[in-house]
This record gives sequence, C-alpha cells and structure tokens, in this order.
Amino acid sequence: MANLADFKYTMESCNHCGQCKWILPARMKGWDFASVCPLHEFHGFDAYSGQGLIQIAKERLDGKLEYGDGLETLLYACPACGACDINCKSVRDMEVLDTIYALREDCVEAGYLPEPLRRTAANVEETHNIYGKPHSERFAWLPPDFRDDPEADTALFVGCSAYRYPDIALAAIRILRAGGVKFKLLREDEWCCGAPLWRTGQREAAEKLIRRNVDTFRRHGIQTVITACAECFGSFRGGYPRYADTEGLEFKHITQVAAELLSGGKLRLRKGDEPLRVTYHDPCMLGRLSEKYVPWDGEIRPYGLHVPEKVWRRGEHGVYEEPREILRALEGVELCEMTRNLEEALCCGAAARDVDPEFAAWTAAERRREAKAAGAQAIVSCCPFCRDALGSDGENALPYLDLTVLLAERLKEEA
Amino acid sequence: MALSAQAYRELAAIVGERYISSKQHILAGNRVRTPEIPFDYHSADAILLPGSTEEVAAIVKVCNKYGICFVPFISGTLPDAYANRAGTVLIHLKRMNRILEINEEDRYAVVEPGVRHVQLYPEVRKRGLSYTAASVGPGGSVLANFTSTSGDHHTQYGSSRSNRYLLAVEMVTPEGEIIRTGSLQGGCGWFCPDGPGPSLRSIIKGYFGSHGQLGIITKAAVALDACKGPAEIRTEGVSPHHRVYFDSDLSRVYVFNYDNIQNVCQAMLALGEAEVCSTVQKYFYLPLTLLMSDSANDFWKKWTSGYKEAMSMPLVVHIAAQSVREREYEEKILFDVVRETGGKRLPEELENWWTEHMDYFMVVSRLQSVLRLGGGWMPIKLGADSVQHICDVGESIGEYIYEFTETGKIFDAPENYQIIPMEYGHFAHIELLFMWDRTNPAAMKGVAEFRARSREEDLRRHFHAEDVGCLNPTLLQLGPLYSNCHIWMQKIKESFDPNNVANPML
Amino acid sequence: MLYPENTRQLEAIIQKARETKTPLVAVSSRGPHLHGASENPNAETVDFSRMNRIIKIDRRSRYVRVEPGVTFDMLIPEVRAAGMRLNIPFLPRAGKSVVASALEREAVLIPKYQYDYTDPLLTVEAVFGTGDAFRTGSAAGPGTPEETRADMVVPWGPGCIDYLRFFSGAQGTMGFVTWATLKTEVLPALTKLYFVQAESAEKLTRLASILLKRRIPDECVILSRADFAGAFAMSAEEEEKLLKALAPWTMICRVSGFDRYPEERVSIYEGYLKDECAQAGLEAVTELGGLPGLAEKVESMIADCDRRETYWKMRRGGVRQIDMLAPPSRAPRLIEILENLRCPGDFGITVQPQVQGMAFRIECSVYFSGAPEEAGQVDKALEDAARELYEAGAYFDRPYGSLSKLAYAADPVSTEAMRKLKKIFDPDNILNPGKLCF
Repeated sequence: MANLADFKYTMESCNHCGQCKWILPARMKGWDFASVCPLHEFHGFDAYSGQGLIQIAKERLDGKLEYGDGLETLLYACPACGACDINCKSVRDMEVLDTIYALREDCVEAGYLPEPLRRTAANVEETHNIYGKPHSERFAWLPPDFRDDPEADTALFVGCSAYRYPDIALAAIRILRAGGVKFKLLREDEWCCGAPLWRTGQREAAEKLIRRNVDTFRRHGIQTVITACAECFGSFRGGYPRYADTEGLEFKHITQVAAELLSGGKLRLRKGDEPLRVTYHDPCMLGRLSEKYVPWDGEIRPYGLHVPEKVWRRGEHGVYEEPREILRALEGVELCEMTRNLEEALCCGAAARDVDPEFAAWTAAERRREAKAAGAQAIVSCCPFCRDALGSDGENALPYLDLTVLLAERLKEEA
Repeated sequence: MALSAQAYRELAAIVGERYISSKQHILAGNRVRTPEIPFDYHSADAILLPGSTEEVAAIVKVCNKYGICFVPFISGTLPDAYANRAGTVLIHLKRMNRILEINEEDRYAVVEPGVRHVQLYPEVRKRGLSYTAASVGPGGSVLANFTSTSGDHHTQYGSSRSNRYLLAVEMVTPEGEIIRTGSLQGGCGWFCPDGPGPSLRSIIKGYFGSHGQLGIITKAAVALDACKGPAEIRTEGVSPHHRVYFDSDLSRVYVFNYDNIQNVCQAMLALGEAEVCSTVQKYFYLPLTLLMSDSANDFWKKWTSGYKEAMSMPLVVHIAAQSVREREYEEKILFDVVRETGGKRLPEELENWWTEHMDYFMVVSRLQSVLRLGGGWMPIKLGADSVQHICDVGESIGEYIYEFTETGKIFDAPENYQIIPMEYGHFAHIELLFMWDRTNPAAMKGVAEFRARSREEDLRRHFHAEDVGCLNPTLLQLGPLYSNCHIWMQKIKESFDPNNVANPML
Repeated sequence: MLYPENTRQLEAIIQKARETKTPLVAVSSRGPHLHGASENPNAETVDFSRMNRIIKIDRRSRYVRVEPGVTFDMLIPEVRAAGMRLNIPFLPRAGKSVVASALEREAVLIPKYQYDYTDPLLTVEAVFGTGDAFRTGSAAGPGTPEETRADMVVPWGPGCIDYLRFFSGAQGTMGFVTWATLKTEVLPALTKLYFVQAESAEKLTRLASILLKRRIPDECVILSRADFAGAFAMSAEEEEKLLKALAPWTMICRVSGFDRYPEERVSIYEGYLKDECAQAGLEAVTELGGLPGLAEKVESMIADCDRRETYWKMRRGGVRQIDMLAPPSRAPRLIEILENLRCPGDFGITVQPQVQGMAFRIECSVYFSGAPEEAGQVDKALEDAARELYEAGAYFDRPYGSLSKLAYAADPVSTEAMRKLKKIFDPDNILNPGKLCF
C-alpha cells in the first residue's frame, strides 16, 4: 500500500543521471542494445522513463499536474518492468518502481484508469480470471485421470494463463510428477493471483483478492506454492507482502523446483532430436522483480540513513541461474546470451499491449531482434505473457519455446 | 510566453507531430528540480526531438523568426541544459544517436549527440582503442562530454583532458547556419581540430563548453588512444554486486594513503617524470567509501568504523603495461616513489575492491553512488593548472572548511577533494566535492555561504582554482579578474547570436 | 619598423595604428623567412627582437615562459642546463622565434608529448587588434601575471572560449603575442638512436603510426633520401656520399630512459621497437653507412637547432615549401604525389608524425638556386601540385600565400564565421590584412 507522499524522498533525490535508461557498464557490449527502458527508447521524451515518471509523480503530489490529457496513457504504457528501478538502485537508495506504483494508485483514485485495464479488472472480479472466461473452465484442460496428493502441503498454482496455454500447466504437472513432488491443485478455489490489480494501482481490489488468496492457501494447509507463471511468482513474492501477511508461505517458480530436481538426479532426460541454439529471456517478474518485498515503515534521517534499516530489493536475488541450469542440462541445446540479460533483461512489452499496442509490438520485435543478433534459433522463456509478446507474429519473428514445456518434453518416459 | 500556434505548427512541420510536444506531463519530464539546484526551472513551452542536423538548423531558424529561446539537451546532467526563462523550447538531441564512423587506422570516432559512453566505449575497446570518458557515468552523452563539460576523467594522468581529444565538429550556429571546424572546414575529414589558420574550434569549447550559447553541436569527432588492457572484460555477479576484472598480468591497481598533500604532489611529479603508470589520482575519501557501500546505512557503518581514517588521502594508481617486464619496471619505480614520499599501502581488503571494479577505470561506472546520501551534492573549484599549484589549492582548503564541517553546514569530510594530474604531471585538475543534508531546508544557505567562501579564499590567495564558466553570472563576477574575458565572451555571443535566443543565461 | 619592448608599448602601438588605420605585421624571427607570413608590403612591421627575455624556466612544473624575440639558439642551451628539453621542430633555424614556431604549429620531433596540435604551446599573453591585452588559459587570472600564484600552464579557456586557438595558426591576424608558456620535458638520462630504412614511405608511415600509438619512441621523423642527406651533410661532398648510401626513406627514432632505471626502460622500449619493425618486415639499426660517425652526429643534431651559417634548407640558394597535414590512412598517397613532383631544382620530403601519431605533417621543400625566374617555375609547380594534393585529401591547415584560397574554398559559411571572429578582435582589420581569409 502506498501513496505518493511516501516517496517524496525518491522524487527529490533524483539528479537525472540517466542510470534508469541505460545498461549498466558491467554489461555494456556496444552501441546496440544499450537501452534498458523500452518506453523511453520508443517514445523518446524523458517523461517516458523512470526519471520522468518520478518527476511527474512529484508534480502530482504538489498538485501541479492533471490527468486527462494523455498522462494516464503514458503511465500505463509503462510496462512497470522495473529495469529503471534496479538500475537506479545499483547506485542509489531510491524506489523508482514503487513511486510508479504509487502514481498508478493516484491515477486510479482520480478516476483515470484506462478502459482496457478496467475491463480486465472487471473480468477478475466477475470470473476470477483476466480473460473473462467462465471460472468453471479454469481446469478444463486437466486430464480426467489426474489425482491430487490429498495430504500434500504444496500447491501448484496454474494461474489464469492455463486458459490460454494449458500445455504449460500440463508440463509443470509432468515435471513435478516425474520428480516425485507431492502436490495438489486448488481447483475451484484458485483465483487470479491479483497481478493485474496491484500492478495497476487498484489497491482496494488487489488487497481484497490477495488476502482472499492467502486465506485460501492457509485454508488448504499449503506451505509451498509452486507456479509456472512468472507474473504470479513475482506477485506472490514482490506484491503479496504489501497487502497481506505471507509469513510461513513459501513461493517457488517451477524452474527452481526443476533445477533442484535435476541437480538431485531426480529427473531423467532424453536427448533432443536436433541441435538447437537458443537464448533465454529473463521475465521481469521472475528475474529482477521477484525478490521478496519486506514492508518498511520507518524514518529517513539526514544523509539517507533509514531507521530502522530497510531491506532493499535491488534485483540481485532474482531467479536467474535456475532456468539456465535447466537449459544447460538439455543435451543438444546450446545457450547463447543476449546483451541485455539477467537483471538487465529488456522487457517483452506485454504489459503495455492493451494501452499502447504499437509500443508493445515494437518492444517485442526489439527483443526478438536482440535474440537473433545473439545467434539464437529460438527464444526460450517461462512466462505466459512473454510468450504472448515474443511468440506472436510480427517483425523479427522467431520461434518461442516455453522452458517448462521444453523440459517436460525431454523427460524420459516413466517406467 | 507560450508558444504561438503558428510557431508550433512550423516546428511540428520540421520534426513531425510525433517528435514535438507541449503537453504538460511531457514537459514535466524535463521540468525538474534537482537536489543541488535550489530553484524550480522554468517550464519549456515545447520539447522537440529532431532527427538530423538539417532539422536542428530549421528549428533554430524558426526560433529566430519568432524570438523563441532554445536550449539543446541530451542527458540532462548539466544544470544549464534546462529552460531558464519563459518562451523557451528544449531541443532534445537523443534521436541523433548514430556512431557515424570509428576509424581504427586514423584513431577517431565520429558521433552524434545522442551516443552515450556506455555505447561508444565498448565499441572502441573491441577495436583495441580507448578514450577518456569523462567522469559523468555511463549514460552521459559522449559529444556533450567532449564539447560542453569540463570533461575530466579519472584516468587522464596518462592521457589528458577531453579538450585534447575533441577533433573536428559540425555545429548549427545560433542563427541556424551549419558550420564546420578544423579539417572538416577544409574539406578534409574529421581528423584535425585546428585551422585552416586560426581555429573556429575556439568557440566550441574553452575550459568548459558554451552549453548551447554559441550553437548546437550536431556531430563531433573524438580522438582515440590505444587501449592498454584486455579487449574482453570479465564480469561476474549481478547488480549491484557486479565484479569487473581485467584478466591480465599487464594490469595492477594499487592504492596508498598519505597524510600530507605535498607528499602526494611529490609522488605525482616523480611518477610523471618517469612516465610510468596509467592512472594516478588523489581521490575523494567520501565518494570512495560510498562506492564501496551497499546503501546509505552501510556507508554510515563503514565511515564511522575506520574507512574515513584508513583512506583519508588515497592515491589510486593503475599500471597498464604492454609487457610483464614493463609492468614490473613500473611497479619498481612506483614503490620507490611511494617509499620516498611516505605513502602507505591500503589493507588488502580495501585495495582489492579496485581490482574487482575495473569499470571505474573505463566509463566511471557507479559514479552516481556518490549521490547515495540523498543527493545534496556540489562539485566546486574545478580549475586546473600545474600539479604543484593545484596541490597548493588543495592544501589551503583546510584553512577555511572546518567552520562549515564542524558546524554541520556541510558534511563533515574536510579532505574531500580530488586531484587528477594530466599528461604525466604537466597539469592537474581539482574538484572539491561537498555534500549537505538536502532534507533540511536551511541547508542551502550554508551551501551558498561555503561556495562563496571557497571562491573568496581562492581569489584572496590569487589561486587559479576555478575557471569562469560560460556566459552566466559567475562569468560576470570573475571576468574582470580573468583578463576581462566576460567582455570578449559577450562580444562573441552578440555577434553569433544577435537575437539572444541560444540558451541565454543573462 | 617598430620595436616594442613590453606589452604596454605594444598596446600603444596598436591603439595608434587603429586611430591612423595603419596596418601592422609582426616579425619575431631572424631571417630567412621561408613562408612569407611576416611579409606584408602594405603594413608597418612590428619587430619583436627586443622582447627577448626568457621569463621563467621551471623545472618542477616543466615549462618555460619566453617573449617572442627568444630564438631557438638562445633557449635550447638554457633549457638543457635546467635538466630539460624543448619539443623542437626538426633542425629549426637558429634564429627562428620559439614562440612563432609554436604559434605556427610547426611539426615537433617528439610526437608522444603532443596531445594536441597546439602543443607545446600552453598559454600566451597577446594584444588584440583592439589594443587590449589578454591572457589565455590559466594565465587569464585571477589578477595580473605578477599577482597570480598559478604556473599559468593550462591551455584551455578562460570560460567557454579557447582563446589560444585564435592565435595559433593565425599568422598574426588576430593579435600579437607578447609572451608564451611552452611545455618542456625532462632530459633523458639515457637514449638510444635507431634508423629504419625502407624503399617506400608508406612502410615507414605505417610503422610510425603503430609505434606512436604505443608511445614507444621519443623523437620520430621520416626523411626522404634528399632531406636526410641535405640535413646532415656538412658539405656538398658529404651530401653526395649520403645520397648514394641511403635508402629512399629513413626513419630516425630514439628511445629514452629517465632518471630511474634508465637502462631498463631503454631495453624494454627498444625491444618493442624491434618487434614492431620485425612485424613490418623492417629492421631498426643503430648505425648507417655513408659517413663515419653519422649516428652520433644525427643524435646530437636533432637535439638542437641548425647552427650552420647557411640554414640547411637554403644550401642551394633558394627554397620553396609546401606542407600539409594528413591522417595516417591518407599520408602515403599524398607522399606519392609529391614524389612525382616535376620542377626545377631538387626536392626533399620530410614526414613527421604528430599528436601521438594521429596525423602526419608532410613537408616538401624544393631546393633551387633562388633565381627569380626559377622561383616562378617552382611556385607554379607547387601550385599545380597543391591542387592535386587537395583533391587527394591534403589538409592545408596553415595555408601560406596562395594556398589559403584552396583551404577556405570548401566551406564558405564557416569561413564567414571566422571573419566574424576576426571583426571582434581586429575591428579595423589592421593586423596583417590580406592574409588567410581576411
């Protein structure tokens, strides 16, 4: 929960160094692929950047700026990918992304949430999924012979994307089964994770849904929640603690679980049919934005001293290595890295598609261009929304492979 | 004065509707107040994103026609690059971002204003070349650094200041003419800044650039040095704990602490005479601790537990040799000189930080962490002369700074100045960096007092501790003491900008 | 002829000239004047020979400050006595003004010490055509030169104008310089001289470019056979012998060691030199045939000005020169054009890497009897060559005489901007009018 006044320190600390727009020097490779903020790169004006948005937030806080003339479109065109935030925090103690979230809450309060996002929110409210499909069909893809482990304290949270990409959910089930992980599904009790609400500043609706979800986990005796969706994962870890007490709950991405199973020798893999050179795209919500959020309510004293000491989310502890470990374990698969990788990965642009489709399409094409420049024959990731964006037709089209599906396909048939 | 509809239409016709805006929220992105500037900037009436020199020239002509002031803008790190009066448009040059040429044989690169250090530096390094990327950080514009800022760099001891490396340029004059300097004016390419005869280069950059007051530089060639170090850099870890290594037997970093600036001076001169080492720099101790810290809280822990004393006057030395034998030869001289001048090597755990952060010696990575204490921050003096003179300037700071540090008006770090020699000790640059608590509204008064006092003390001693800047109030104050240069600057400005529309600060 | 003795007198002279609209031209070297910059039949001559003080030699901060009447033969021994050396041109005239040489951006022998084309010139005091005195760079202030505690060595500014570059290459059209500060370097404790000979200049320009990029040699110059022989022979006989013995092109370069471990530095750097030569298919040698003791003679001569009674370039009676700058990639083609020059007399070519090897100053000297009819033919031949050279990318950065038309033709808008500047600093156009584009 945030309001603009909470981020006054950030707004007044910015010296316009540009770190929020450019790749960190440790990863610099050349002229191309040096921008980390797709919004700024596409639109050009500084208002379309972390620096610009925190300045806009300051003017809103000071009552100097109004919505209604396109500001709301700018604000929601930003995919909130967090590249600005972690780049800034590589050198500063500022909360750029949280300021953007607070600005979104301000926009919602002012009544300017863009129409496509209202529709999504209404879908979540009415059908518990982002697509507005019947809740009863949430698990329609599930094989009739699937059986939960009734005593399990682990749940596989399939997410709304299972409506669209049931192959991912099925692949996750196959991996868990192959590795001997005992788990269950929440079935009709599984609702949207809430990402489309909290990430867009819809505080009240988000809080209601998130608390409900946490209660559901507890009601089912769940201690560990596994998901194959980066957006759900990032929300559980980076969003939920803002609205609910998640103490005692552990959230894992399927790639973490799979990597653990692989290193423990619990998954047996077969060789692929053809050698394949792939690159891995780090989803924002699995990578830099997946660190646990630790609420902080303290005082900032002179010269930046935070009392009590604050736990910062600087993007260092995202899930970066496990997906790569899996790829390295797939015989015949060669991993090549893009320039903007790990915490510096360029966003796929999916979050902007409803508000600024031209920009979203450009961002996806830009990311595919980078993958091609790295020499990849296919781009691998593990987020259904990245799949929407990067797997779509359009400029620089390139085969997209979901990592969970890819791994499941390589599992040796169980005896 | 708001932009007239007619003027807006004419400007939009030049760049296209997509690349001009007068919407308030777009203007807000550059209507910014930074922690070190105690006032709100004026709002620009519009921001334009031209895509070529010709578009810039056409915009400037429209500005002259309607009496609209213009300010060229790229990264926004210079406080002068903002609207300073009503009736101003910002000409944001970021779309002009091509590296037009990297000429390996003739050792120069030609860039447009939007090319950033983090883009050009790796490109030239791949080719075994390098340049003195000024201390602005990775997102700084290469062109603005070479043409507009003081452009000093940590590694300029074995090379020089950016002035030396600015070759031919193309510029749009305040009236919208396109002019070229040096060999480009002579029709002979980019390699030479001077001539034919006297040099138009003279109005491009003196000690500082003109910050758009004499025109908008649209292309510039910068000279490239041989890169002493590996072309491939090894990076480990994830931000903010990247470690960047030079995997090479030819590279070594040493840091020594001194207790006396005159001894540092002697060391700098002795090393310079021997023409050894690549970087020799007396660094600031406060930013150094900040560079090594994970957060402001972490800084406070380190600062109060020995870092301040252990690195009170650090001399940072980087040896980048062409052979192991040369490295050993340079090390031998370095250790002799340090022994003779009373330097003490830092403990290994502190010195190792440098070896793991070689990006410091390339694009001045992580520089912005000096702002971690909240951003109340100001570099002053910024002058250059001989190493001896500049060390004398540094030594005198202790005679007047304590009444500000001990009363809490500014941060308690009285030795927080850096001295960077150039051209193997022929000259040196000084920067006194002080910080203050910007959350305290009264602090700005102390800041102004300290700035004024520093200047007053230097003038009283007849120290050349600072230069006069572009055509701004500082120039009017100091000009009469600096060969009446304000008069000549004004005459040049009037001659080239008769309508006074090019970033007028007076 | 006017002989100012100090800045105040020069200010008065210029102010008077403004009132009476009298053009002035400055002379500070003893003759012969090879380029004609200081010849202006319509102007009164201001002769700086009485302003010949060596104001300061500073060993610690490595600079000298001298008036324009100080010549190479005066200054070189004084600087050496202080344990330093000047970065001088190749065998300059003994009577050449040190300040004028630097202002004219004459090529210097040690390119590794050159970070800029204006090097070794650091700061100047000058009087503009308005009659106002001015000091550049860190000499500007605060206060007068007597008051300031600065060493006045930093070239840039004051402010956002690089005033030094108004005077550099201006042939006295912007202002008259009354003193200048010049960079000096430590005298090496040990040196080793090498010769590298080649059939083509291109092999040597490529080598020099690489060597200078790595800052291996101190002195470095490439001479055609004719210029090598002319420079180092003490008689026509010696010249003849050398012409027979030399390869078409010779590079002279020297590596140095300083006070600390000099042998080690020389050993390391000569290793680099030999390696680079070997990679280029060349050989660096310490001796040359042709004359006994030639290496020792070359080594001592290049550290000094030409103290012979007749300047080596005047040995035939007359000389005409053309010089230009070229980046490494373009130098070989320009040298090739010059090698095919057809004109009376003989000619030599001197190629000097500048600014750490980022450019070459290519100077072609035609040596002839000095007879007026021959001079006309030589001038015509050089004018024709200039056009061809220009087409091939030669940059006439310091255009003397008729070359200025070529040099300013490419960009009339920029030339107009230069005239604007001239009008500010010399509003009545009294300083050397008719030169360059003024």
